[in-house]
Amino acid sequence: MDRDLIEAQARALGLGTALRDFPADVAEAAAKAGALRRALPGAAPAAPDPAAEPFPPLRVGPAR
Amino acid sequence: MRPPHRLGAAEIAAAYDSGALTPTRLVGHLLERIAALDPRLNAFIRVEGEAALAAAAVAEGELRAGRRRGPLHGIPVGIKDIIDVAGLPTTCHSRLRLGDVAAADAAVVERLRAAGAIPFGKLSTHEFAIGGPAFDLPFPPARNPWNTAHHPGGSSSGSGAGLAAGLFPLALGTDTGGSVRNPASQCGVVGLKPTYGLVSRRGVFPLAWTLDHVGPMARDVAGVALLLAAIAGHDPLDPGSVAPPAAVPAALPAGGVRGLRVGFVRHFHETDLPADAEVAAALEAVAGWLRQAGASVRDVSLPPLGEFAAVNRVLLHAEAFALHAPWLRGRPGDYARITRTALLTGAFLTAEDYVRAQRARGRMIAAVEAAFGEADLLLTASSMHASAPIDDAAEVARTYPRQARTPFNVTGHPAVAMMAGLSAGGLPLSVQFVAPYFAEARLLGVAAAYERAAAWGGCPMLEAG
Repeated sequence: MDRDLIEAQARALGLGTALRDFPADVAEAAAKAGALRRALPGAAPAAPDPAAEPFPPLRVGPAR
Repeated sequence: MRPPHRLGAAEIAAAYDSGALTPTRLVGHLLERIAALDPRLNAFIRVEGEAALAAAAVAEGELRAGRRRGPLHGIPVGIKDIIDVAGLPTTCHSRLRLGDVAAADAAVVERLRAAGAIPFGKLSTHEFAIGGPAFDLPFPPARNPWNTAHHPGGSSSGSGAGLAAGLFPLALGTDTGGSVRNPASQCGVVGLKPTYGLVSRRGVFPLAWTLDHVGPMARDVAGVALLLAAIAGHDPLDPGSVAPPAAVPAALPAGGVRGLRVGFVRHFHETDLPADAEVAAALEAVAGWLRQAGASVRDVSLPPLGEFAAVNRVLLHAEAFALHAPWLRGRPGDYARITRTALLTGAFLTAEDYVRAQRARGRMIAAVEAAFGEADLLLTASSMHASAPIDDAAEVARTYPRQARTPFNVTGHPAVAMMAGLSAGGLPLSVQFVAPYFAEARLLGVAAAYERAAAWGGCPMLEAG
């Protein structure tokens, strides 16, 4: 994500104060988010396969 | 009898029964230790000395009258300061919450009081249980009693530090990416992240709803078992809460590890995030003890740690941003820099990222469940290093994420971290055991057997007092 896009997104989210006062923190956060996205396993969600539904996110099973 | 601050919770209860110790004597002794030691440790944000002494006097009178409210009667418990105690501020170690007084006890504190425990004060944490040690907050970060120049781990930093130093026998922590097990690992105590949903989070300031757990911490496994039994149970007011299939026992199961099938997740610390040699050697020694004690140990594979970490962090940052966005918009300067940067990360994740992470989570749960098809217990690293110097921000940032705890926040399986040796620098090394859902009794039974065999002892600050 380039600098202009980061700044536009931050402003769109109402983070103008953070962008003005802490621009390095905003840039670092955006870089970290990008790194996490690249590290995620698996492809983007495929079409309407019910088995692909991720919710509820954590369903604990019975004891063994 | 050993000095009161070195006793575990079960030993304290026995000493109350025999008359060798009373609640007021114990609380008075611990308050003296806190006054002497905590200025160097910063484990406490707030000590509730007068209230604790008053509660101890009541507990003592009840004991004299033959009344015992529960298994923790008259035993002080430190409370991480993101957990509500009625009438006290829940600061979350942040200037954003300095005046926020809790109207009611968190569910776990309600349960502690019902078991007879004495809430002893509010303990240091990383701000909002995220980020790391920070020096730009209204309270200083906790320090490691094994060496006060080092980080005690986090985010339940005060819980780990205060236990190791003998400031209290039991503590509550919370664990979203390893925050009970990290300070347990770095401070040489015992910390359990229970099965997701086993312990209510009502009244606990959230970090990430689908990953948050409350967990018991103690200097010994028996203390963790006692505390877990007191706080576990279904709470209809916590949407993540579940009814356990069986009661959680306060007593540890008898017997050893003979016949146990142990899966050793060696790739976590050998190839995914290579550990220091002394950590690897400590883990081999634990595996050797298991074999010698009659367990079978064989390697098992799970998804790589990097994938678990990415899933954990995407979920955590997305959920935490949703919670903190109003403050990040209006008062970003009131966070520590390390917290602000961590929380802003969620602003740059997308809905697609979040759903991808949740879908990957399902595959990871299936992988761990499959491993439990051929193993009764998993053995893994906890931290890949002993604790870093707290003033060395770069070294803290380098070593802090090098751990194998996040997988079990993603999957919800119970995991306990405990001491497994000492580094050349005299700091604790650690091991993690992981069990199937709701198999906490098995997990703690194995941990107790290892504790008896290893007998590592406490830190010099504890032993010298």
